[in-house]
Amino acid sequence: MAFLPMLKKLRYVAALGMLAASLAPIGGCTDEEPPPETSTAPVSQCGGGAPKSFLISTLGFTRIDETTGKVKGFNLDGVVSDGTDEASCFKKDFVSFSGEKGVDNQLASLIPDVEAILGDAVDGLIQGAINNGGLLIFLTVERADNLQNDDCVDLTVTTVLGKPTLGTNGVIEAYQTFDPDPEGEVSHATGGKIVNGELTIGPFELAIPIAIFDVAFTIHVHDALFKLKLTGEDGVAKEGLLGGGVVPQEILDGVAPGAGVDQYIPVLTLVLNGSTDLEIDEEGTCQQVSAALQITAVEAFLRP
Amino acid sequence: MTKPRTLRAPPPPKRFGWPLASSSCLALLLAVSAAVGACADIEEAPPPPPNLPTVAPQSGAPRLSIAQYRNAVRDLFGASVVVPAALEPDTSLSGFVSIGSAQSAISPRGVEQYEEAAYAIAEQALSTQAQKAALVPCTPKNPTDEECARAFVETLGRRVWRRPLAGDEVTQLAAVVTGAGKTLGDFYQGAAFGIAALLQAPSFLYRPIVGEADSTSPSGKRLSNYEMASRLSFFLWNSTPDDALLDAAERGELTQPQAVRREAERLLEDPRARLAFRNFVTEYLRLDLLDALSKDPTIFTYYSPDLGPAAREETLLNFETLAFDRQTDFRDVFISQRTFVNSKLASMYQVAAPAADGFAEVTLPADVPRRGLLGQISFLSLYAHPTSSSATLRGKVVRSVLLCGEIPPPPVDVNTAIPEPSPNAATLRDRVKIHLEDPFCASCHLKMDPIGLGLENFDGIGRYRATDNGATIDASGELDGAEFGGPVELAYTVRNHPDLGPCFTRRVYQYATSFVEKAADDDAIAALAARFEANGFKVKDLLLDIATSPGFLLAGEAP
Repeated sequence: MAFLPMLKKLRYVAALGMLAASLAPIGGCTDEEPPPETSTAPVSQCGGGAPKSFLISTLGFTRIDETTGKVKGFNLDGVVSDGTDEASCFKKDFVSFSGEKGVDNQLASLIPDVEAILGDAVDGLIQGAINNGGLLIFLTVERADNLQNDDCVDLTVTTVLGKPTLGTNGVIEAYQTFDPDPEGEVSHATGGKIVNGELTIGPFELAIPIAIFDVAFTIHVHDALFKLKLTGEDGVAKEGLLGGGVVPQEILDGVAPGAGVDQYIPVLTLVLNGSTDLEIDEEGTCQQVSAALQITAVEAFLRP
Repeated sequence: MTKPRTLRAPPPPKRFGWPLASSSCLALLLAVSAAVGACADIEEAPPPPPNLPTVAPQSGAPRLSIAQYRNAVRDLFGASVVVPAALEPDTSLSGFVSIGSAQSAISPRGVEQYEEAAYAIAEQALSTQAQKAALVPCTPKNPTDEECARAFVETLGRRVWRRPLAGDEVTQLAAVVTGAGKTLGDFYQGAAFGIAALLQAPSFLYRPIVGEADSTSPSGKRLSNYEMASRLSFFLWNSTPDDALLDAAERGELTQPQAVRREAERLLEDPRARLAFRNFVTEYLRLDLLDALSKDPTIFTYYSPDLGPAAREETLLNFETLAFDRQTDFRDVFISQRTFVNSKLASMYQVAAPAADGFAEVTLPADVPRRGLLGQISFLSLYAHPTSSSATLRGKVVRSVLLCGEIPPPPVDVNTAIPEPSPNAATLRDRVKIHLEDPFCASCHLKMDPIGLGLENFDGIGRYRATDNGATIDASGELDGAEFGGPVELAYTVRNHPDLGPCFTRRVYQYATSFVEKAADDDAIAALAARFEANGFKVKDLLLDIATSPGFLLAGEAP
């Protein structure tokens, strides 16, 4: 294979892998034992405010600040690891920009190495998938009586279909209408809170279908945590953060069917398995890699 | 069919050729004389419609606008016939192309374009057997079948020229058909030359209004039957009369107001009436300018080239639905919370798009103060600057176009620039304060800016905003003594303004007659406006009343 085509292929395989990895971490939830926080038919005692929906308009990797070493993310496992504890497979946690310790975001430490090889194309590939309608993640905040402060709200995450319209600034315009994805998995979280206009919710099980180039699969993000600023100027994208753990093998299985991908699987396996820090098993191996993605979301509608 | 122009068939007689028609004055004379010659049978003049004052009517010869030309060709030869894009440009006068067309001449280039169009249309018009059968009422025995040529010219000529052809006209045009048929060896190719001659003639390109004797008219003239057929169809269809209307003219019915009303009612039930009304609204609000809507994309990120046309369609659907489907008070177009959107407009109005493609009706969100025409993107984006909103432009349209108020043009040497935003003057209200406080500026700007400032919650492309440069927008104001707190109240204030209905009546009257009204028309327009109000401001009733009003029925001396 010539160098440039190979590099191009490597870019999207890596992008898929990194994206998939970033959309997961932690928890102890397996298919056999779903966590109590997750429910496909939730029962909530929350209020009955009108649903408000958003489309994730940008999705980007979080990066470690070179000067401070800080990074955005969540403390997914509830512990602060200094790199010596076995439960985190000896992966040192980070400190967030707000000073929170114990941030689990091992994927962030991989980004500089990946970008050293690939340039800055990874974020662009993901954004391209969003803009082209291949990665349209729809968030619906439900039961919120007050978008400024509310102690009991729900969140539904699903995929939608459509071709977003971009503004002249290249950003997806707000208030667009999308069609339901009949084949998309629906993730639901309950018991979230809105404090000073910011929604925080989780952990919950999050399913995200990915479709980039000729690869399409669903990533399951375990014990996902999510926060999103809901208030602000109408039509202006709201900032948020999504974190959780993903099982490397699920990513590898997902990208493997892609044309010409198999030759990169060993590299990807090495990278991802070497970064796992969550959900240690009886043999002392961590099953998931922690990650966090920064997002922006714009108000949107589901076609009635 | 071979290309007629390259075959050089015998040229049509000069009466039908462009050397004569290239002079607009001469063309007018020709058209007028032809019209007079064809309308010799003068009937007893009917009394004017009850309750409507008589007027000082006008005469002339409005040229077909581009839209009228295209519509006429569509109705004469079928929708499949493509009219070349290049035609003599329309000229708008007093806000209407129909008025401009009544007073503008044809340029030499325009003459050439009409000639090219005529041949292009003629070539398509007889290109299939079905078309030949539809247009030629006989089976030609040979390429020079004179009897068939005369029948063809008489039949089609009546529809194209909107009146029966005089005997010498039939003879001359039949000679064109048979002469070309002989040269080309085919009757239908000769007939195509006959079509081209018909389409280049002043009797097609102009709508002469000469009139005939009427002792009850101030000028002593009324429109002839065929003149009325044309005036009626171009008003209500923006196109040429159909056979039924020409038949009514032939029976001499169209000098009777009752018969005119009956025909007008029939025309209004035809889909072409909707298209014609849309054409009126387009000219009334200058919505044609939305095709070239240009906004700074670095400021207005929601701007796209398809925004203007989509916004125009929204407004036209609102007017059309109100006038023809709901048939309710036209003033409700200013306060309606319902509108028609496509996906793009839906996102800008912050409502879910009901359909992935095309337009559908929606209810605007209750928490955004957007109502009716003044809240539509067409109005808000058209009457704004490329980089900002404009209280002056928006206010001027409301004042002058919607309420028929007089606003003199700004002095030649006046500086119209307003200060840039600053911490002390963030909003447009703060920045235009100088206009409203300086007596030199205020005399005019007080008539416009307070209205436009009521729409400042909408930016230069019509998106809602609560703030401007970080400062909360104050959209309150007053219009002729009626205070409003924001755009919704402004919408109701305009809707309830006593000048709105009379002004709309005046605009439709101008459009219908193709002439700028004279002072003597004021009483008639006021009477029409009163009937409009009495009928609940229903547009179709207004159209019918105008079609049977003295200003529409009577003819007079040329201005």
